[in-house]
Amino acid sequence: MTKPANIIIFATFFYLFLSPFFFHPDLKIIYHHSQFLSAGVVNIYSFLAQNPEHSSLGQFVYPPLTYLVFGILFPVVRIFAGSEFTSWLAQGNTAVVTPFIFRYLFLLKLPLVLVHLYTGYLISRFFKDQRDQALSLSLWYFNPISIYTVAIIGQFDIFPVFFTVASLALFHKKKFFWSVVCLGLGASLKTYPLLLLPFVSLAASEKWPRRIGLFIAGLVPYLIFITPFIRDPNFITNVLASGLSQRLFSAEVSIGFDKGVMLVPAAILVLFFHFANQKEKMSRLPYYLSAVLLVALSVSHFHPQWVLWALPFVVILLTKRFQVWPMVLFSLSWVAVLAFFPDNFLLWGVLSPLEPQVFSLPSIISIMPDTLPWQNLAQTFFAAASIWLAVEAVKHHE
Amino acid sequence: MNKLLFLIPLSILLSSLLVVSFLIKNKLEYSVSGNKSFPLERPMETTFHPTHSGLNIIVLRLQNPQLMDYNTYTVSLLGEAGNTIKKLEFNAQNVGDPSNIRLQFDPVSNSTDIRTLRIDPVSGGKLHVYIDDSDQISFTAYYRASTFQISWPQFSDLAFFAVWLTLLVGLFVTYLKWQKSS
Repeated sequence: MTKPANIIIFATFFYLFLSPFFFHPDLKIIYHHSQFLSAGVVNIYSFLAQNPEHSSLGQFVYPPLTYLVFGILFPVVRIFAGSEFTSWLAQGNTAVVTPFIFRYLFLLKLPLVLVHLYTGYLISRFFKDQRDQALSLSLWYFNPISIYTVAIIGQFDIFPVFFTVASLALFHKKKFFWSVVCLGLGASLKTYPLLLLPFVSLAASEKWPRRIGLFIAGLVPYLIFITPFIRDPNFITNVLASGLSQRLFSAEVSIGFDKGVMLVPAAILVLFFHFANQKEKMSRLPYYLSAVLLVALSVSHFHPQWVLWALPFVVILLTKRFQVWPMVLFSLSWVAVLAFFPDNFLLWGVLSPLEPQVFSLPSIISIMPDTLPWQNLAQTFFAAASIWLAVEAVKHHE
Repeated sequence: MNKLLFLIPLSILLSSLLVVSFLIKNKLEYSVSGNKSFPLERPMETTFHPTHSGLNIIVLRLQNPQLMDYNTYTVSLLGEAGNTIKKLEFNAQNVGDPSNIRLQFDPVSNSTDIRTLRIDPVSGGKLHVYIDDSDQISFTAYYRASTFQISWPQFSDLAFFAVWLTLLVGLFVTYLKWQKSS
């Protein structure tokens, strides 16, 4: 049997090998904006609005803690990246023709890869048996979603994912206060962990005052980071009211008279009421958390990296109760959604450090015959796989 | 766990190289990357000596401040005696604030004779050209390969690759030691 430590070493080799050769501009843009922290800029939202010469790569669309984290990482990365690094960050989204491109990509992704590796270790600690630990590590490291999101395009979603896993680990140690604080910190990077907060608060205690107290404690880190910016119209436009934040709530069923039922909140409420009636809330929490995120993603026009949010909980579920077909359908339909995404940066563009001309290739969806709604089909299969897994999660008993 | 698994990331990289080599016929000829925006008030020239025939794409990094410029500009590829080998035109309406502009043309069979790239200003024009620290115009050029060629990336950053390889070899050796001890 393969020891868990050997899998972690192989995964480290795997991710460090691949990370220099693939590119997506998002991470470069985030580092570019975050460099202004070193220059003393605290409010990046109004700074970019007032200094359009620094916003040629767009606005900063993430919560303030993201700016702070990358602002702290930037000077460290710059030391190893060299003198031309800052000017490379300012270049356009296709700036891959530089002799240092592999060094830059490796350094930009290195913090993400390390956090991803450590998150895998945390997930494996949920299991006592070495065989289960090895299975959970293999599922976490060597699935297309993790490899693509962390090693290929280098999306920082792994940071909030780490906080949600840390939250669950602390919950299992009965450190409920720190568990909800971790969720609040995760939400300060990307808002989605707030969806999990009611479930964690509910499972932590049988008494409602304590539950409400924990819920508020989980909101505090999030509020601490956003409150200084809450009156800034640039922050409201680019972060709170951005299209990205609204996507989870845009799926509706019309009830006539221009009114509708929002599917994601309705589904999460159903799960919450169902969870509230469970007797073994503590042991069933990870499975309900996976169901919440899977249901939310199933009816959303999600970015491919968002699926990483649900993955730790899906890995825990599949390690406890390994099922081939939901996992295969989930992974393949995700690959199909990605393949039909009308954004070349997510597809051919990732190969641009190897051959910069890939940006001129047509997207796959643009050359597919329009006899079938390919994107809708891929989304539908993904929704089916997600709901299948969510149902398995809710049904699962220890 | 089989040691051969360590070849998987290498095979992913090699298959990615094969895919792009198969799909892309236009290969990188030359690139200068600069970040200083400079107003185009006089003809600007930069040394450019392609080593392959079949040059067919020039990508320039330009800026049209506040998108106010609507003029047509000329880019010339000149030979050793200053003779024009290829003349290209573009309209500033297609230039962002800033953006890359891609000029694609029929492959130039005698592109190895090119020595200079020149951009001419227009009276009243507002266009800016990006230049590097040596005042070379920021641009990338590609040629059309006549035969199948593997698109080998430029592994010129030897310091990085030395550290990176050492790290990977260290991980592999650690793996072997741990496996032996277990």
